Amino acid sequence: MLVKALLVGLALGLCKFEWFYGDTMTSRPLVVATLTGLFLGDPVQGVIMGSILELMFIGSFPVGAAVSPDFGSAGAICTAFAILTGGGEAVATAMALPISLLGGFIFIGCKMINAVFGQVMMKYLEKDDSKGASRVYIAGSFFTTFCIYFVYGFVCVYLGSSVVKAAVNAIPTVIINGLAASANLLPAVGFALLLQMIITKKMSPFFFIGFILAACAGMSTIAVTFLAVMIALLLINSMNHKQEATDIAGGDENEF
Amino acid sequence: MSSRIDQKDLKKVYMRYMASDCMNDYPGQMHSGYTFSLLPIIDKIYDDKEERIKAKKRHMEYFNVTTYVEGFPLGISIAMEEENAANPDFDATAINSVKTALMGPLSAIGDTLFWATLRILATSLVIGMAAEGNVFAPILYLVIFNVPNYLSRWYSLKYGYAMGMDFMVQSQKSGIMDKVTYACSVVGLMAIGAMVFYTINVSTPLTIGDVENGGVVLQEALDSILPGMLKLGLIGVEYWLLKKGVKVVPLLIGTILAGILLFAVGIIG
Repeated sequence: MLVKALLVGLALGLCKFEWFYGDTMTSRPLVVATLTGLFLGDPVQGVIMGSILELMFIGSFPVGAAVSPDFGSAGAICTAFAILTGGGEAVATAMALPISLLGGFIFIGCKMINAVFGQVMMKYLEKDDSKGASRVYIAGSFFTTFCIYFVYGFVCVYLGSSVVKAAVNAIPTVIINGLAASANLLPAVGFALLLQMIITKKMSPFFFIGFILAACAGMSTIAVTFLAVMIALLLINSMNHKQEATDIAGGDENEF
Repeated sequence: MSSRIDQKDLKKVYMRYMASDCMNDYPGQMHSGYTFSLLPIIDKIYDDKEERIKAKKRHMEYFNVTTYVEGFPLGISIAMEEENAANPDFDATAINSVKTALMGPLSAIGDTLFWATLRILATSLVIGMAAEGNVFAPILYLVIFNVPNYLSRWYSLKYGYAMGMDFMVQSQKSGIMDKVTYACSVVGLMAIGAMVFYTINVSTPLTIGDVENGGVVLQEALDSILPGMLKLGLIGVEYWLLKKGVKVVPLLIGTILAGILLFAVGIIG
């Protein structure tokens, strides 16, 4: 268990370290879970858990200063629980909330630690020491995006696996099955969050068009997405024409 | 005035800019990363030590923007610092006020473009593969997201520097940003619509009357009106609750509990 826990910590740390190499989305559950699965010898189970957790957290992302559930930690730790306890989807979903919430609090802690590193960096800047300041920045980044999450992943899996396993055995099957059924509902929360961000009354038909194309015409998500790109291009074209027309007429109607 | 900044310097900034969202903290959000990115430039263009230290400290003020388009303010800051170093009459406070003015509008575009559209696009393309256990799904996902990510970083930095403030003024005037945002919403919303159908799984085993004697299987009846109607209804409820001000975490917990309850009494299956 020690080695496995270390590997989970490593997977989480590496993925969280994405902030150092360009916010590459490696901390999305889809990616973290697959890497965790790979390290634990079951990448297929990993990617399946990843797809479930990804949808559950599809609406959460770190915008502005708000603190949101930490989907990355959930991706690594819950996948590890699912694989190590053999509990699968139900375990991953049930544990996703507590793990991601604790992760959210840890993130607040990280930002406070970063503030201390920032103070030290400022000292170096005042001395005109760019090299020193850069070193502080890199050290601080490494500490709060890799080290802390490495420890979080390790501790959870090392101490938690047996507890989770015992709990899974103790919980009645109807609850476990019910959990699996609710897991299928959870993406709705994520999508609702996303919609809240981009939908307007005027734009809402596009959402329903996408849904109906999938539901009634049986088009795959990929096909709908490509069609959407084409429709967007057509609409932009017609907007350009309209603009030219009003420019010629000297009108001042900004319809869009 | 001949510029002392060349492509090589911009590349140095570009490499550091990769890490600029890293040491994010409460007093200043991305301020440390912004300074970290600009250090090589400031060291190069300021000959006077006092001015140089002032410039370094200047960027430790509060700053926050979608990191994928942070190149614009970085490039503009480089151009302005350069001007400030060369021209003693230049008002240095303008450097930070321009940065601050860019935060809001740029983040609005950046969040829509990268978080709400590109990410959703990438997810919608691979999520089916992933659910079937195809391990190439995350790789494809990373490629789809990151090619535009790295390009956007480079070109935003380059154009930010080359055009300075003109870029924002020009783009606002031509309305190109509005169009891009509009197109993104169209694609994002349609992709979400399709994903809602394929990824949310809710059906009911309820029947009305005895099926063998002409009763109705409720799910079949619903499907004959619109397949996946319950999914749409569920999204509607969650959306409405969010609009009502219910927070995300209680909503997630509530959904799980409601799911278990509805499953236990046999309304959903």
